Amino acid sequence: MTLFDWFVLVAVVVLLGIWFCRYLYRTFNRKCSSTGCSNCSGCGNAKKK
Amino acid sequence: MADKKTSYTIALLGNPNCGKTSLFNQLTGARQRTGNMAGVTVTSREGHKKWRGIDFHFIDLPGIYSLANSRVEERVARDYLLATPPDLILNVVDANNLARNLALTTQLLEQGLPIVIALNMLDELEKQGGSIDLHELSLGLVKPLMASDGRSNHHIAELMDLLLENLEQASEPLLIAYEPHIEWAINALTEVGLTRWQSIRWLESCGDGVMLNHDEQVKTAQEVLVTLANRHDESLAEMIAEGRYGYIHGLLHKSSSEHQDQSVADHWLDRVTLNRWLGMPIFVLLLWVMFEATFTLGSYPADWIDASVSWVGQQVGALMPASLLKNLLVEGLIAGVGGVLVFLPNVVLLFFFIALLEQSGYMARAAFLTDNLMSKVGLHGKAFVPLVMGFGCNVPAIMSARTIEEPRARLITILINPFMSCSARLPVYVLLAGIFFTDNAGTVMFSLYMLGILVAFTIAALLARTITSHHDETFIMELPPWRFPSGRSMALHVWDKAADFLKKIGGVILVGSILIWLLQSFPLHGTPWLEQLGRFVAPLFAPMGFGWQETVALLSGFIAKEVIAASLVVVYQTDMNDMAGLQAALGSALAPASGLALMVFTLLYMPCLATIATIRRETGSWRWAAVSIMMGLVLAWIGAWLVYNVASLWI
Repeated sequence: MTLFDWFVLVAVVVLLGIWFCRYLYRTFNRKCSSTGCSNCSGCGNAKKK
Repeated sequence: MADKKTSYTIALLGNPNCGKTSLFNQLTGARQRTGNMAGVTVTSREGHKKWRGIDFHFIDLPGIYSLANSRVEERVARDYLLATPPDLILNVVDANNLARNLALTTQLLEQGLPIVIALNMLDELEKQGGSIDLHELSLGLVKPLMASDGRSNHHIAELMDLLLENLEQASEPLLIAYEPHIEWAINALTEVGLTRWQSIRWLESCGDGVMLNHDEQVKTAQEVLVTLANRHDESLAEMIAEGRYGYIHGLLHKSSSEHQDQSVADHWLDRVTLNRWLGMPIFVLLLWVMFEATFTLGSYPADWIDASVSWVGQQVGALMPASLLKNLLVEGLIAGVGGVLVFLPNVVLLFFFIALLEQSGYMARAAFLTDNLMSKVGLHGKAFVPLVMGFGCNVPAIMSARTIEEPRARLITILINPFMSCSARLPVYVLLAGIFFTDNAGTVMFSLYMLGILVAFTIAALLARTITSHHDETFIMELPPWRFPSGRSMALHVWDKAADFLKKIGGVILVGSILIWLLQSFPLHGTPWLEQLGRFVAPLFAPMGFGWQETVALLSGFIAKEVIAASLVVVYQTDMNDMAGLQAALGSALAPASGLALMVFTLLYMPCLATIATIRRETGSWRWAAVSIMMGLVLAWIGAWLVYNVASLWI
């Protein structure tokens, strides 16, 4: 492993980590539109209103 | 006319999403948020407008389909009309769904209420080439009617004048001629003191909504119910709806371009596709043709993409010096992403055929054909759209189940949706069916989709027996006219789906491929982490004949199902990095029965991460998300094991 290889490896691991954290956050924290949506009866956001 | 009274109450009433609140805002200058929140607290909104010296007090009632059902909004509207009858009802009607909207109008007219009709969204209908003869429609309904537009105040002055002219409207109840037995029942009830409308209302709701005052009424009503139940299989609500829709269709034949008499060809098509005996075989045959064509026609452009990806991989490999970056690009990125990109033509073709069925008007007929079967397994008629959407992606499909208000029917639709094979699973089927069942690949793919539907319906039937139903919900099914699909809208629809697939390739598939490559490449000496993980979990999958490679591919599919194909490409690295190499490697590593079992496992096992998140969000609980994961895993294991063992006997 050259220094460049180590650099690539660290960059890949860091970028993968950031991407997965962002992906998980966005997947599990998606909110309803602030203006509401038509016929929305099921989600928690609707029940709070 | 209005010399004594200077203040009048006008109630706005119409179907959900007919543009009623927009019109209310235009009339009163209010800024009410538009949108209908069914199933939560429903309130009416009020606003004022002074017009030619008269004070108009507007009430915006919740959107409803009928006065007969037991939904909260319907009760709110019905109670309001009974308790505080308005001076006039402004019935807002969506021109694009005229028949369904007029079902409510006819109920108001049968009740003899004073109404003025505002025909909303006529411009949209005209843009699509439709037209309505307003004069003819007004004559048919014997009520004043005008075109309106909730998005501009262009028509407001004219509408206000029309309301002003009709403030003291004399109203005669509309008489719809129902089926003879219903008419007999109405007569029997009117003879004991109910009005015609009360009699219809009582029959329609089997006793709900109308109070019977004395024993004679109760006795007659019970006798009528028993007599009708003995004579007819269908419910009274269905029979009354049929009569009402018959009246509406007769009216629309004269006034709407959408409801002109069917052409001979349309009539013949309906007779064939909705035929009791032929309908279902035709539906199944069309699906088979769709999958066969998806595989066969898709293989040509897929070969071109494969050759291009392979060429790019070779060029990058030849140009770059040996390094980790070169391995990452060639073995991880190009191999993984290219391995999924190859299936783009198949995905595009599948969506092309689905769009063709939808836009021609066939899908609505298919919904009609399957409605009976769906209701038998506890599914609501409205579930058809979310289930068909599931063939594309389970995430929006599960979200679209919001249109089903009855909680049990909605939950069942959500939980069975992952069994509807989404397009992410298509690459795995095309790859494996192409290797192990080259001559019958289309049939194998078709069988997998059918198996998904079968499992979904079986689970729905089981869930329907274990989850308590809250109330029934009516479903009005409309059969649109047959249309030749427009090239532009087909192209837009297919492009949307292709763009979604490409976006996923550039996102989760790319990252998944790199992750698999990383775990496959390290440590540099010794057994790679990926293989260690695969071998650790592989005993669970050994009864189906899967190796560690298939095991890690299935594990990676948890992120997104397309990653399964990308993982197989990365773990079965070949010199040329092309499909032919992968097919040869997989063909020699797996028995055909294992290949089939792998497809079945991919079809049934746990939903992807995004789908799990959507199930949790839509059901509001982790419990149902966990149920979905466990149900999928258990069913997939049992299904794959059964398929492997049975198929091993034959192939």
